[in-house]
Amino acid sequence: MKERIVLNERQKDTLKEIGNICAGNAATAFSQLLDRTINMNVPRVHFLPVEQVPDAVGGASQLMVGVVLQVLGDAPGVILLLFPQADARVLADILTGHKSRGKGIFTEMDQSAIKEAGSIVSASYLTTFAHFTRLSLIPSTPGIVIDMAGALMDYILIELAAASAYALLLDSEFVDAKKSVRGHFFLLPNPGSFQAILKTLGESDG
Amino acid sequence: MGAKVLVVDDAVFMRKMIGDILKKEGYEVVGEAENGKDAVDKYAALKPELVTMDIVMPKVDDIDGIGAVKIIINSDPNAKILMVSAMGQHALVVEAIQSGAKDFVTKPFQPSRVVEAAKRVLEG
Repeated sequence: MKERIVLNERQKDTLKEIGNICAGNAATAFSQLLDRTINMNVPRVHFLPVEQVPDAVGGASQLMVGVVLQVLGDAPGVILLLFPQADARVLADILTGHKSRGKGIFTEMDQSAIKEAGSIVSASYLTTFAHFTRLSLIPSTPGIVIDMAGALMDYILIELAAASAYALLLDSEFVDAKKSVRGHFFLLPNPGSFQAILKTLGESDG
Repeated sequence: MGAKVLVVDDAVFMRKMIGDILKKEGYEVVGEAENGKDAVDKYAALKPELVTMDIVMPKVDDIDGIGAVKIIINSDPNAKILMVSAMGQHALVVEAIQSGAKDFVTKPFQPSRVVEAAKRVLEG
């Protein structure tokens, strides 16, 4: 049975503020990884039912590259970092220093690079989030899935047995002087984890 | 030729990145390993002077990154191992250092950080 969570405005503001700081730190991590200055446009922060995740990234049939990590510790859940295929292509080209062979072709090195970047950025988000919530949040080793957004969500909900009813979305656009890479960062807390998060923030209604 | 290095990471991209950084500084990358078990086997075979070891890797034959550190140090107490961790892995880093690793760098890193740490470990 799904937990029903209705966030009040103060809770939403708190999560948005933390989301902004998380994304800023992730941009710093991205800059260090790419060894160039990366700026981040102000992210869109949303709290939405998981079934609306595919629509939030452009529709269920949108081809995406997803980096998936499980969150272990005090507030278990799943982290999903989604890149539209074209943005993943740009990211892979920047990281590997190679010219793309085609929009939809990702070599082993491309996939490894995207997975590593996703892992580093996710760890940055999670570390910042853990700092504010004072929770122990430990990321697993990352996995990569290339599929349509709808199928990707099915994978997460079924294969990873993710039980979250809601997702916190931090939409980010990382930009340097020449190129930009859009990424959608989702935190999908397991039932109970959201209340644990809000409680540590002193924002629980319970 | 510089010191012989074994680069251990489950991500081929990260192995290449670390290998390239060290090669530019004159180190000789004598091998790469993609898991803890592979690292233990290649350490015994290649006898590197420095190992860079990813701290979080999938277990193979029940050996992960820290497990590999323990086995290598047990067989060669003078082994020089530099851990490579991501943010938020402080507890694992402490465990690795207590197990015999000499130092660590945190991803994402700038190339100079890796070079400085490698030098520190080799001189230590």
